[in-house]
Amino acid sequence: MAEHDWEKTDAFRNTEIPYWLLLAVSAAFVAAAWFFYSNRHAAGHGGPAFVVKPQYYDISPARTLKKRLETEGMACGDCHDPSAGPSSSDPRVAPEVHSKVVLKHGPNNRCFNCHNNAKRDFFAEDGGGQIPYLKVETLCRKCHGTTYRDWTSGTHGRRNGYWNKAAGEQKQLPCIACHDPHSPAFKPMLAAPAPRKYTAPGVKH
Amino acid sequence: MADEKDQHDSPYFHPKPYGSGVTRRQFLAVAAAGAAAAAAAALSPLKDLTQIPTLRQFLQKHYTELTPEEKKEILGRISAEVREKYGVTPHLTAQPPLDGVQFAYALNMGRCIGCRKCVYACVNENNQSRDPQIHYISVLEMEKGAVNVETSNTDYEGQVPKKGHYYMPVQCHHCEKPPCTKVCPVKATWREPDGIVVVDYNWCIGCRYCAAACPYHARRFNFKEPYLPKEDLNPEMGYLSNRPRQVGVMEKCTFCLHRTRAGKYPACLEVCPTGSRKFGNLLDPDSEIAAIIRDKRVFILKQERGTIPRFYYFTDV
Ligand code: HEC
Ligand code: HEC
Ligand code: HEC
Ligand code: HEC
Repeated sequence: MAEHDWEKTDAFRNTEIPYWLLLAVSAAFVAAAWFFYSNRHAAGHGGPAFVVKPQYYDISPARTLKKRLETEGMACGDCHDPSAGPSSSDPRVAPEVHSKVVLKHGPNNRCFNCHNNAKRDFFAEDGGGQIPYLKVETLCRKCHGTTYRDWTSGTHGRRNGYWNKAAGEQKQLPCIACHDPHSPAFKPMLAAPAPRKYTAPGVKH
Repeated sequence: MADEKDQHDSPYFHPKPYGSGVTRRQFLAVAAAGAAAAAAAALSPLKDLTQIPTLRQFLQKHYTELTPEEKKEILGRISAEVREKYGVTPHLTAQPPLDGVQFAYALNMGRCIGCRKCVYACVNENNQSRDPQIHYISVLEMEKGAVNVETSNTDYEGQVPKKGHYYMPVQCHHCEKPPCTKVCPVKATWREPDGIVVVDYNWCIGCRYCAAACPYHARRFNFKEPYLPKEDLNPEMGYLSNRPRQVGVMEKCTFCLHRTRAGKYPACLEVCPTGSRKFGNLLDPDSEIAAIIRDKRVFILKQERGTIPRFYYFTDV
């Protein structure tokens, strides 16, 4: 082998490394070090921590429950005199005063299917009987027998508190905590935020 | 330097004859220094490591073999750790399984609207990490017509339910034949006599075999030190459920063991606005869960896997 032949075969050993490359590589190391240092507490996505807002886990039902049958803070009997006798107006449309009421209950389109005609503070039991406000499920039961049965066995609607009644009180939501009686289809709602994409170390999405 | 001279004479060393530039040797020296600095910086998080186990933690016996006194001592130690880190004294319990109780869960697929309240009620109850996020419940959005988990979507936003879609929340199924506990090399996860599959965070070595074995993708791993703001800590906690976890351990739904063994409903059920979530004692014929098994159309996710879940999906007949 000639004295300097091997130099020609070893490109790297023989190449002159310019200063700028040395500077660039060192700068890259410093930058990498800074990156690791400054990111040591940031999460995979680098943003601020997710805040779980109380409305995401608020247990109150879809509708606010009242204590008695009332409108604008007044009991029905305040205006409707029981001695006036049954109304003779069209039993399918709400008058001006009750414009808030819009019936969308399918073929169940008569006020007095549900409201007691003579005693407005009550719901209508079959045969003119009265159902008190706090027993509203007996009203719905008139037409939704199977759902009512499910509700009593706990498979429809929601029970809260204790599954073990020996350990504590078990509560149950009434039908109108979830269904607006005048338009009973369950209303759409806003979903709580989707999970952020989590990036496991070393995995790129 | 003595050997430098020797090297100069060696045929394998060829000092650069020119006056400008850097020798390879110099280059490597600077580069090595830079790399060392970078490595030091990359490892610097280890400086803040607080999770080095104490000797006592290290020598702790398996949970199922602990005597009541030993349990009490461990609970006291963990309570003190929580107090130090979060500034609140937790009410930490280790409730035993109840006699004559077999827990089961059922979810009404026809009712769920995908609002994700259960997801966050669970996070709020169980002290999961907020950053990175850990959710025990994934709500899958699927097109009506088939149960196709593969084409499901979890990142829908806005008003729900979306037209033509239905929703299927998935969480730990608490299988009677759990593949996850079988693969655990250290028995850090096991099935309790009341049917709840648990993890001992002090025992878990973080190998993640269980997560790979679970057909329901129900296990979550703490890849990073969990972050939980002090004010968000739920001080009602159980040893086998929602006590704070550390980096490198597996966690998952425990049916809110600290609540349910005290007779309460799990947090995800309490919050459901549609009433799709049902929970109770399978052995009690008056429970809603027994009524569902009796009266409803029940189906099991990935039944062919033979895991025999204690988590059922059902629809109204
Ligand atoms: C501010 C007074 C007022 C109150 C309070 C009130 N109503 Fe009325 N309501 C009226 C008036 C006025 C009419 C129209 C009467 C008519 O056309 O004969 C009416 C009509 C109705 C009708 C239509 C049938 C009809 O009689 O014409 C129903 C049903 C009804 N009210 C139910 C109720 C119920 C249920 C409550 C309690 C939740 C209630 N109202 C409370 C004033 C009131
Ligand atoms: C499906 C049975 C049903 C029918 C049909 C029905 N209601 Fe009602 N209505 C109820 C129930 C139940 C409540 C109590 C709701 C509550 O407190 O959340 C109520 C409440 C009301 C109220 C008080 C609402 C408020 O918040 O101010 C008025 C007024 C009323 N109904 C009028 C009418 C009128 C007028 C009609 C006919 C157009 C009618 N209702 C038809 C069941 C019915
Ligand atoms: C007089 C009979 C009757 C009573 C009382 C009654 N409903 Fe209905 N309800 C019906 C009928 C009929 C339908 C079917 C509507 C349809 O097919 O569009 C219906 C439908 C419904 C639906 C399904 C709505 C939908 O669009 O999916 C709900 C929910 C409901 N009712 C709830 C209630 C509740 C809650 C009560 C008690 C406050 C009640 N109903 C009382 C007759 C009744
Ligand atoms: C926890 C909330 C909740 C309660 C309480 C509740 N429901 Fe429902 N109900 C729902 C939801 C959600 C649906 C699905 C509705 C939809 O898809 O529009 C539903 C559906 C219905 C339907 C339509 C038929 C069906 O099975 O889908 C009827 C009828 C009904 N409910 C009646 C009742 C009656 C009667 C009660 C009280 C005895 C009651 N509900 C209590 C949430 C509730």
